[in-house]
Amino acid sequence: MKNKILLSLCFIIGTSYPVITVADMKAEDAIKFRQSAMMFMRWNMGKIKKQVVKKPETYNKQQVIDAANVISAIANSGLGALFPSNTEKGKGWKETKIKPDFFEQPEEVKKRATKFNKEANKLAEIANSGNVSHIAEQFDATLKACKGCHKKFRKKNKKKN
Amino acid sequence: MRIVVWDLPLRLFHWLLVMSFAIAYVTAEISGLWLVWHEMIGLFIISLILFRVIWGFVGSEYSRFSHFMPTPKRLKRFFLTDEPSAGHSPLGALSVFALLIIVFSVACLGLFSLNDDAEFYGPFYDLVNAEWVERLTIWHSQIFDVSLIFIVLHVVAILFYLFYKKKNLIYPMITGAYHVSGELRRSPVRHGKIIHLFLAILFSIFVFWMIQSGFLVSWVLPDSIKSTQEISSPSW
Repeated sequence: MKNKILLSLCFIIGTSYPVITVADMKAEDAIKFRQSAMMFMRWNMGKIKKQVVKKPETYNKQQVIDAANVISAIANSGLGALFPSNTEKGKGWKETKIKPDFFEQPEEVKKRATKFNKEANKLAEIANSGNVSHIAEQFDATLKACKGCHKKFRKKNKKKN
Repeated sequence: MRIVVWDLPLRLFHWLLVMSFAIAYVTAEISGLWLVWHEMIGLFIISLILFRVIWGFVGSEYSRFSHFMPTPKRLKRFFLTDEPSAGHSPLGALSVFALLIIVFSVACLGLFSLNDDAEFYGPFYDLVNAEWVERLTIWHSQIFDVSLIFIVLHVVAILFYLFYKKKNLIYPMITGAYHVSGELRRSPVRHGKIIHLFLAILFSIFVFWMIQSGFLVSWVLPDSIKSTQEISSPSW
């Protein structure tokens, strides 16, 4: 009896395992998750940009730290899992802009994504210093890391690219 | 006879526009925080062209649109006869209008554009919805590409005149001076009035300031929901 229960337990776990892996996430959800992550980062990048670059007189140390922490947390959340191969085309909140190249050059993607993680983490670190010009410098580096990936792997507009 | 065809305001306009355009291009390419300068230079281009438009009505003789408006009659005469002329030829005038309109459009579209790589958007971003922002942003870059074609044409035409027709058009744009035969010009060139120049510049600066300070947007949309990060945050 005990063996039977154990056996069926193994069977259940064995068969359900693929269902719970990230790779089998519903494509639409995966696209929505990543689009939401990008959008949420935009909000936080915007706060830093305003307080550090555009209107330094509005600089609020804690808000900038919070924003930078959010960005690095999202960067470190394992975003790569939201790009399964069945999401080359498809609609999340809107049509995905990903280029097919993204799935053909995993090494290049990894390089650029890691670069972004590194810069985002550094931004969170420097935000703590409260030194506005240092934050601005690192903010710039982070933006360039964003662009580094977008330029290569994101379509510019709705037209075929 | 040596006459001043391009007065100082016009020459300054021309070379400032060339410089601004180049800076706008470079800052957009480098991206990141340089986009702050991209925005400034875009506003400057809008002001410059507004100045040129005013100067086209009240400026010196050769600066006025009425002097070089490329009417069909003038175009026909330009192609069929070989009369010498000073200032913009009717064909050159077409190119002038095309360039002014295209560059102005690119700059104005930039006011609404969003570059989400850098969370960077123009001062009029709040005035239109997301769908239109996307559309206008695409136009901003596409019409920019068109402007490059016209700039190349502009330069090629000048080189054509320089090497084929042996007429240097670059030198007059620097010194303002043109050599014309006596029959072409009997009366002295009419200059623009200083007061008009002053008012035109003042108006351009005023427009620059209205946009840059955000005053224009808050005037058009007093209760507009400001971009998300403008909202003062509650403690939670």
